[in-house]
Amino acid sequence: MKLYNWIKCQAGELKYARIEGKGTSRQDKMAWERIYDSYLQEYGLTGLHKKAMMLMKEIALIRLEYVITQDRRKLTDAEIKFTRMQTMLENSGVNVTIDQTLIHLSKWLGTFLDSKNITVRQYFNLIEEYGKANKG
Amino acid sequence: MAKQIKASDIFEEEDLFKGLRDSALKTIETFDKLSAEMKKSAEEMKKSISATTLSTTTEIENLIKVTGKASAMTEESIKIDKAKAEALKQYAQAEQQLEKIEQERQKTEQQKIRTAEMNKKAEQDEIKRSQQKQKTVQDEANAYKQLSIAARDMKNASKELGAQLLQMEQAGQQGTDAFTELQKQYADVTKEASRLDKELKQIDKAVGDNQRNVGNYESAVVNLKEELRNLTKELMNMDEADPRFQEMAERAGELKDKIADTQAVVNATAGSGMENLAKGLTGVGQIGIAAFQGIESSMALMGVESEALMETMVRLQALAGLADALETLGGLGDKITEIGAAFKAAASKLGLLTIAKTKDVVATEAETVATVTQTAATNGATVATKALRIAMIALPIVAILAGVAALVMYFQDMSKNVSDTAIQMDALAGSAEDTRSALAGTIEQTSKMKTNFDMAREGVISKEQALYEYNETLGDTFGRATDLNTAEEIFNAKTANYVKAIGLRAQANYMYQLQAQELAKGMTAAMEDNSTWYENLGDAAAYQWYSLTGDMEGQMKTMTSAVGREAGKANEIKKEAERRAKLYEEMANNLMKEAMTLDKANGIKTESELAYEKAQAEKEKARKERQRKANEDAKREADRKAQEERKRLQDIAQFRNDILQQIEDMENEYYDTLLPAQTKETNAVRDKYFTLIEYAKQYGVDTTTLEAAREAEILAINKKYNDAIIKQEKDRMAQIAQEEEDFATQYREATQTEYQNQEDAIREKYFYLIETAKKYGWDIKKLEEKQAKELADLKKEKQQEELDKEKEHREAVAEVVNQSFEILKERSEKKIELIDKEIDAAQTQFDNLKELANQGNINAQQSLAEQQKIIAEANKKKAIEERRQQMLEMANTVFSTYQSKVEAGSKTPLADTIKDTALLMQFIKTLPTFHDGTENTGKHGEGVDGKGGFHAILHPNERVMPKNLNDQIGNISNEDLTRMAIEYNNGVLVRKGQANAVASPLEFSLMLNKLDQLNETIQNKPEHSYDVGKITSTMIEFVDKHKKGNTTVYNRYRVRK
Repeated sequence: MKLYNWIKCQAGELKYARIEGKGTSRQDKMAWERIYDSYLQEYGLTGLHKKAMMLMKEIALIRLEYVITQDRRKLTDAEIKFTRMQTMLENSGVNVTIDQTLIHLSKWLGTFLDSKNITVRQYFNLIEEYGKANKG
Repeated sequence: MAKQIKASDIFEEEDLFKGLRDSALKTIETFDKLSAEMKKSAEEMKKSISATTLSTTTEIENLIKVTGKASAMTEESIKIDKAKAEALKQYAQAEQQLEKIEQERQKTEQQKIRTAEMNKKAEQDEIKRSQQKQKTVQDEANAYKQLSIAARDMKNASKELGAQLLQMEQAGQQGTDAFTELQKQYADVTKEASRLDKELKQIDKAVGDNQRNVGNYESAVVNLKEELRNLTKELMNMDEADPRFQEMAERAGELKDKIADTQAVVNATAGSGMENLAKGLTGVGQIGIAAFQGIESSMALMGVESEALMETMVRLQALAGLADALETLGGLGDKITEIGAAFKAAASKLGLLTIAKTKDVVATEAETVATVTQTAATNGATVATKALRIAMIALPIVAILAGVAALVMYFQDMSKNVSDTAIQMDALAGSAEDTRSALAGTIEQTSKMKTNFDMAREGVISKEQALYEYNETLGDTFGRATDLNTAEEIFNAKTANYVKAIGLRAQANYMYQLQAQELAKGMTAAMEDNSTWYENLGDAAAYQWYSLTGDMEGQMKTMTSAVGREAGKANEIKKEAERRAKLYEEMANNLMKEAMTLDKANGIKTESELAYEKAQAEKEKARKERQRKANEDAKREADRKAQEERKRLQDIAQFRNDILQQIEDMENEYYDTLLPAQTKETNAVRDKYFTLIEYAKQYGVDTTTLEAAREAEILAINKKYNDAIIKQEKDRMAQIAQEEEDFATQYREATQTEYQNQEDAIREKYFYLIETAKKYGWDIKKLEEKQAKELADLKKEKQQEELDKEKEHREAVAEVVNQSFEILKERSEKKIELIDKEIDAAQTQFDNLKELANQGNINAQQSLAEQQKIIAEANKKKAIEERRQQMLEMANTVFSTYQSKVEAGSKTPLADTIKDTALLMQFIKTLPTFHDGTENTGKHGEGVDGKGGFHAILHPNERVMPKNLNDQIGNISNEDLTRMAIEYNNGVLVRKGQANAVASPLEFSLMLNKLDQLNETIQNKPEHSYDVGKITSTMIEFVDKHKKGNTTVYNRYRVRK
């Protein structure tokens, strides 16, 4: 799958998951789930990603607990967790788009990388390698 | 005028609070149900994400979904919790009010019981008063006795004094001082005795004491004699010049007659029935009645054949005439009473006569006899004889006896009736001359007209001329005609009756003249000497004789007798004259009635009718003239009123325009002068401190003090302008209120004056009418009723006018209020617009500073907090303004509703207005409440007490602090303040002079301010919600490393879509 199509699917345009341009929205969704599942199996969630998701889960559970018990202290607990998550995300670096990362990678490789030509697997591998190379 | 609002208008019905309480309970129940459902959902959602490992897309998506739902559900739950708390609060308030109403009710019940007790006491008092009244009546009865004794004593004293006077007179002491003094005393005592006697008689008359002796004739005789004796004694001692002498002498004469009559009746009725009959018949025979000369003796009647008797009776009638016979019987004088009583007693005791004891109820056989007495008066002498003849036809011998007996027994009635008839016949005969002369002109007129008709028929005169003559002479009387035939027909039909009616009127007029003569005769009878010459001569001789012999008693008796006789005669003449006058009047009335009946039946108009019609026509003309003038006056009045009304409406319009202009001026002044000036001053302060703070930053000086000073100056400016605006608005509103009051007062005074004038006019008009009526002795009741009605109508009309004008006035005020609301709302919206712009500008500045801060600009970082504060303040101002706008809207709504209730005539307009629960809720919500406490009550309007005060809902045991103390505390929250107070009490709070204590009050204050800022930041922090999609879209993170000179720069990136 081309990286361009991946970006589109991430943006919600799931018809880019099609191979020959045919299919229904239901089929598109099923296809994207399979693709994303295979991504998770192969690369898994990043540490930051997983931590944030787990914090979200905890916040949701605390809030639900508040709904059940009406204990207002739960709201404070949820606030604390939320602040922690926010701090974690805010300190995790600057947001960049995939296209911006392609510029970094192109510069690093010395050749221009086009999202329409490069596959998803190639892109994630390059990112991995680039990360390793920059770890000092 | 709008009704004044009282607390009872709002709280008089407990239903309102019951409704609120029930509504609150239902709300709580609903919230509880919602909470229960939400809990159930929350449990399920919790299960669905508890075990997730986030290893598949489905799990991640589920987590995203549940997280979103949990967030929304939390918010909902918080809202429900707050709303439930509010409902509980309302429930508690309603309960409290209900309890208060219950207490009021109990109080009212107790009041009712007290009132009932008071009523009972009042009843008992009434009973006591009644008993007291009875006692008073008894006392009065005793007073009667005392009065009687006093009168008797006074009479005795009078007699004694009279005797003394007499003695002195006989002793020749007349003219001495002692005699004069005694005479004066005698006069006074006699006068007093007379007064007391009169009082007693009046009392006797009132209680009907005279009725007690009815039927007790023997006792009556004794009483009469007693009275006569007393009277004679008094007369003997009395001066002839005394005004009472004449009166008493007359009374003595009457008493003497009555005694004789009564005594004779008593004698005649004594003994057996036969003895009574004998006495009656013998009595008749003894006096030799001329009327019975044709009868050998009364007793012989009983043995004669009935036909002979009939003939005898007929002869009797023919020979002497019943009237003559009766007249002769009249010569018996009082003896006839005695004979009548004897016959009556005999009839009753023998049972021979079935004549009833009273003349009105007569048994069958003698019915005709009694009828005679009843009917004779009406239709003349023939009727009387006819009735008697009918009695004769029945003719059993007993009936003859009955006829004789009845003749005597009912002599007085029959005599009167027959005598009346004779008088009437004489009068009619006497009227012949007057009737003839009255008819002469009428007959001449009608004869002439008849000749005209004949001549017209024969062609001697034209028909037109005859018709003209007819219409001119008799047209108005008989009715006008348009052709001669009709005229003649009318003439023929009406002439005879017309002439007859003229004759009847002439007779009636003659009778009226006779009536007048008789009345005059009766009135002057007492002034003339009615005694005969020999009576006078006899009196003079007797008096002279007694005088010579020195017999004073004889002298007095002679004098008394003469006076009494004279008085009796005058009285008889007077009675007779009155009787005749009455007869003449009856005749005149009957004749006049007959004439009028004839006229009416034939459509004839009399002269008086014609005169009346003419007078009526003139009156009608005058009335129309008056009406025309009244219409003109009314039109003028209507024009004047219309003019006034136009002016009033113009005044209202002017008033409204003035008010609106003032509000507009106020707004213009605010936007053109005050607001720019305030902004200018604020900006100048900001600029000044900006420079100073920049310098301070450059030199590393702490800027806190400068910032505080700047804020203080800005606060002072704001306060100055706010105060100015408040004062300006207050002054303006006061001016508007005064103008409105002046306008209303002026209008009311004008209305009241007009009403007063109109009322005075009515009263004046009727005053003269009533006075005139009183002068002529007319009935004023109708006039008074009419006046009362006119006054009531005027009052009603004025009240209606007042209501209509009040309505217009109210509408004008409502319009002013509505437009004022519009203007104030517009102003508020403009303010919000400006605040929004301020917020936008501050936000843009904040974004720029943030960008700079991200790039490492320290100054920008420091300015961020400042900018954040500006935004927060602007938001607060906006919230306050929105709140004000909301209150304005609400006030406008409440005012409109209130107006409509007033207009609909509601007795409790405000209560009706807020009975609408929704409206009440809104109304209550618009009031600020501090159930959870507040650090600053804000302004909330312009104030109700001239000091910026406003209504608020407080709760039991809350603390309210004056502004000066609150200013010293600053922005510390209530929670912090409480905590600090507890810590201070517990010795935990760091204080000056202690270890690690803050160096100075300034530092302490700064620290508190920082704490306050911290608290404010927490309070103002936005609600945390994070888009989970943002997290899930993070795919990977990486680090970029590059060298910049000798430095290696590491950049950490998160890759996002």
